[in-house]
Amino acid sequence: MARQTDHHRAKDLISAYLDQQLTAEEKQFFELHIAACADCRAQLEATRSMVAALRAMPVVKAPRSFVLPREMAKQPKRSIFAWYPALRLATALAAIAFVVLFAGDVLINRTDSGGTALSVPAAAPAPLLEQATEVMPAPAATIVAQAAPTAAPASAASNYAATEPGVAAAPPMTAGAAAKVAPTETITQTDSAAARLLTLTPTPEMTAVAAAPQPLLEATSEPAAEAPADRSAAPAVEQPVTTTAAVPAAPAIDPLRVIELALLGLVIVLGVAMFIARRKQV
Amino acid sequence: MDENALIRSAQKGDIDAFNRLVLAYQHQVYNLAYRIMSEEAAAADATQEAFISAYNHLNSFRGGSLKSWLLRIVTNACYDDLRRRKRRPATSLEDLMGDENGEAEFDLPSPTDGPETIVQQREMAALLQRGITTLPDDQRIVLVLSDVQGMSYDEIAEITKSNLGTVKSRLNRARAKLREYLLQTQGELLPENYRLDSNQG
Repeated sequence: MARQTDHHRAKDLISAYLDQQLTAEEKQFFELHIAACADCRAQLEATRSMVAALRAMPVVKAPRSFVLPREMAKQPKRSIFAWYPALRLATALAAIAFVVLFAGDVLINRTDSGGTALSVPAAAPAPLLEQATEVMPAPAATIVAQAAPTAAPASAASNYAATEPGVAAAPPMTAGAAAKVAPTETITQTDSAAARLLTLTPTPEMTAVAAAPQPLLEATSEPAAEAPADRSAAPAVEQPVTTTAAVPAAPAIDPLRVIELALLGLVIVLGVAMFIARRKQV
Repeated sequence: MDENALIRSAQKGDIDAFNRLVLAYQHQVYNLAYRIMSEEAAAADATQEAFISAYNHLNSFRGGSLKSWLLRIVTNACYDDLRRRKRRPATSLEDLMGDENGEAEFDLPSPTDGPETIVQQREMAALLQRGITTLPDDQRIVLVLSDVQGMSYDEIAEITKSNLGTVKSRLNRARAKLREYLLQTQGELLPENYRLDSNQG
């Protein structure tokens, strides 16, 4: 019924009417309604009294003093203080950037590494054999001096290499050693040795090559002592293999690595600065 | 020292200047907190929190009424506290009724008021406070800011981060609910001036 609706609408307007928050139309409607409706008039008056009572509530006094203690006084701002939030953000961003780059780098390298690794051993023997042939014409005297120590590791290294994973490195090594040893013999023997080695059948040639410098070996005072030293030379010989192998696989200076290292350094520096700033702040 | 000078000094970190401002406003700030929280301990916590926050953020005060600014801060502190506690109105009521010191101290009434008036006022205030406690948080805050503190709808909308329509409807419902409460509980004990009509529409 219209009167019921009017009534409900008027009740909802009581509060706003008291605060003069009605539009002109609403105000007109309301005043017309309460002129005829005793209930709404009563409600209006009750609300008016209540609001007046609320406004008249006495001010409660604070039970104690709320002054701040001296310790809370702000220190004069040293520059590093204000930097703490900025440092924290910078550290976080640098750390995230580093992690993202590093993860991306690892994932990418994993997919490529299989292919490049396989190509390494194949590439290695070829350049080193070329090196071996180049070494051959070198002066006999220097090569004789090198021959003795390298001869020992030739056999030792060959045993070595059998147990080590880099089996591919062994034939080139023996080829290199043999090439160095060879000039003590006649050129023809060297050629034949090299030729045999080129076919990559290590064992018989090795023993032949090893046998040749035997007199020289006996002449040297401490072959055993030198052997470990030269065993370390053997990995040194190996190293050229890997580096030459590495060169075709990847560029020498990886820009991504540089960026990663720089970011890591930045994170560390920022982290330390942030730590200092936080301590000073407290 | 005038207030603006104190504020400027306090903004530079002068805690003594700030404390003079605290002394000037602490009753008003505490009063609002008490009217919202209905409890001394909670009100004291909110007040302390408000003044600490005010000191730390004094540089964001851009002039205007410092009182309004402080009351805004303490209202937010109360809001946060209410949400944390999520009190049920019935529980608050029991706490309040059991607490003889519920009303704490008042400012001295004007000398022309007789003792009866004072008693009446305090009884009325206690009754109203109990009623306020029965209101849901949003309605409670709007009612106290408007009718106890005397703030405008616009100011309330700004403090509570709501719009004018929301403030109006919450206030309407809060007043209706409080009216109901008063009728149900203490209708006959109200002084003649404040007696509410028992007829209902």
